[in-house]
Amino acid sequence: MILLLVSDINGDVLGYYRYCFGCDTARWTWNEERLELRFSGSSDKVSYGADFRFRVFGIPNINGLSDIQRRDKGGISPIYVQPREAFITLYDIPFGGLEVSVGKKVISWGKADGINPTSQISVYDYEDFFDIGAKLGTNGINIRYSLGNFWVEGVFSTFSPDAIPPDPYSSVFFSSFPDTINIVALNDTINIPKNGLRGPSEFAIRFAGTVKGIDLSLIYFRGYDGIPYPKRIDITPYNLIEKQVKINLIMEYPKYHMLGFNFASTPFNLGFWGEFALFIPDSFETQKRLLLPDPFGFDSVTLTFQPNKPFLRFVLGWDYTFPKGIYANLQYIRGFINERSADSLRDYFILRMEKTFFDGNLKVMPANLLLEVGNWGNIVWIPAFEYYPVDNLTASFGVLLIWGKGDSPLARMEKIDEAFFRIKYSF
Amino acid sequence: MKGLKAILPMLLAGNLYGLSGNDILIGVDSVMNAPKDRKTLMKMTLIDGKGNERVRTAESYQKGRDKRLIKFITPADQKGVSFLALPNDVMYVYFPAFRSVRRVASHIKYQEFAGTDLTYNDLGSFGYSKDYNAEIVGEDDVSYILKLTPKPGTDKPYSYLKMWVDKKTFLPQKVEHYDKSGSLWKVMRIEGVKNIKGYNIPYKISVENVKKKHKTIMEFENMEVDVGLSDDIFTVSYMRR
Repeated sequence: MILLLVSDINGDVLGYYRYCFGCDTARWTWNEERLELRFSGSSDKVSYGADFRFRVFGIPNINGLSDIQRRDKGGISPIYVQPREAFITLYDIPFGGLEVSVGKKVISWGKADGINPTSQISVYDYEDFFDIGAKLGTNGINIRYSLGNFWVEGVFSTFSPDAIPPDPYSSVFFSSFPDTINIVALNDTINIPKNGLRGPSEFAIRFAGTVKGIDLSLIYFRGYDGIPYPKRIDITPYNLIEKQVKINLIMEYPKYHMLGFNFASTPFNLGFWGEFALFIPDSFETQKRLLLPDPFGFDSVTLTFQPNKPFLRFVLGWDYTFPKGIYANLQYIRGFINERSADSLRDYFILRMEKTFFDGNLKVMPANLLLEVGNWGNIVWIPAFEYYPVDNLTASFGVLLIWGKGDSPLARMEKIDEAFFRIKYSF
Repeated sequence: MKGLKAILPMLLAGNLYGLSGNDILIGVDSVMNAPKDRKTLMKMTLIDGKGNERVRTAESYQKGRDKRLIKFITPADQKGVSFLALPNDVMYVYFPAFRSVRRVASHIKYQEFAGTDLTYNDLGSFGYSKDYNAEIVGEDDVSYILKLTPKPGTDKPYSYLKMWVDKKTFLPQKVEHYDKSGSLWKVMRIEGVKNIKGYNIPYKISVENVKKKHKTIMEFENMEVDVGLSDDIFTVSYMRR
């Protein structure tokens, strides 16, 4: 029997502020007020969900008088509306055990915390460096058939790119040109997969279940990397005396196969999980063209290319609650979010420890640490605490501290030391 | 009284030969778990030492002794968070914000659940006789008084429990929980019982953490029993709905 849908509207009001005290010129780097609305409803046979963000950034976008005369006040308080999810799910139609979702939906398949190399369907929202693992909804159809503790799930979706963070955080994804090159103009173009039935299509299948108390899943994914890579770089010398050049950069999204394996278990009272993702990229070659004779040795310019070699990213994680309620979560990671080729893979430990006080009203997280294995001086440390003075209200405070040396991406971000404050009310 | 009928032969034997503490404890488990399944709206009121109250509501589904699903309705920041407990200490938590189901290990068994004075273990399964040996340490007109000590090899945070069992209904009226040092830690009281379909079922239970001066009152509303809950409800797939 199909019962009437019970509909709900929930959401959050959020204030989010960051101040970069380590930047060359100390400044506000994030100044946001956000209203997030979530609509949902369900019955025995159908449910729906939608999620919209209305965001106001408090840094005015004013270039002239007309910007402060606008009736929508858009120059004074730029507003952004972001649809994150909108989907409908059918249950047990036309037969029991079947679940079909259609629309824009976040699909998260990994077992690890935050870093999920086997979760490749929903694209990542890397905008906020403090919210690693955040995903955006993907347009598609998701079919799942459950039989007891086992299920098989297939997804057919259309390509969508990852959202990358604004500067200066984007430097974690993209190498910069050597300082010896003086770029007077940089023109970049991104080619997305050609529209059509085949071009932008992605698909994945997952077999999952529990065997002898161990949760297991096998995944196959065929689709695109969410981060674009240089396909063609034209370097045009502009002023030979000043060593100035113009660069025209064309980027594309490489396509690959991914074979994944996940597990989660609880040996010796420990939480223990793992994700293994073998990436097999399609052939992808970057053309580098110097349009005039090369007087500066530009051939030595190196960029991060997508090679054709297969590579393995994985995460192994453990968690445990010690006496007195001290929670510890440790993950060993091969391949951080920005490392997407055999040559770029590095190893890291991520340690998180937390303890609550005052009947759970205060959570202290002294050790939110990322350490690069072997290069122990490359560290990200985010000590923070959260305060819950009343139900539905969360206030978060903390600092982001980065140390990086050598050719590590962290070295490019070393000056991004920030303090942050976030306050959220859920309704 | 359906739960009591099941243990009637044992009780009759007990009248002839004298009930042991373990017999009474088996009776308690039988009465507490008499319905095949139950579905209810659970209201949890958390009261701190200053008298401040916070309320959580959740849908609760239980089948047998060791299958339970709890889906939070309020507060808003926990809406949709679900907890699934299955046999052999298999537990999952679903976080709708991340659309992810997390397997949780038994190290959290004795952590407080969602700010209440109940642990994950308290919510996971009902059954004292599996983990405790009982001896009768007292008796009055209405109650047997039992001392429950953990069986060897069981992992419990308590050194012993002291339980007052109603002689007529075999429902525990009060259970005192003592920590490893022998100090009183928590007191659970059944504060209201309803008869639904012939079962005596507690509809109001309080748990007081004496050390923290914190109390949780659980009230079960709209309770339905023996409704034939499907095993499909107690799955990871159903948690996400």
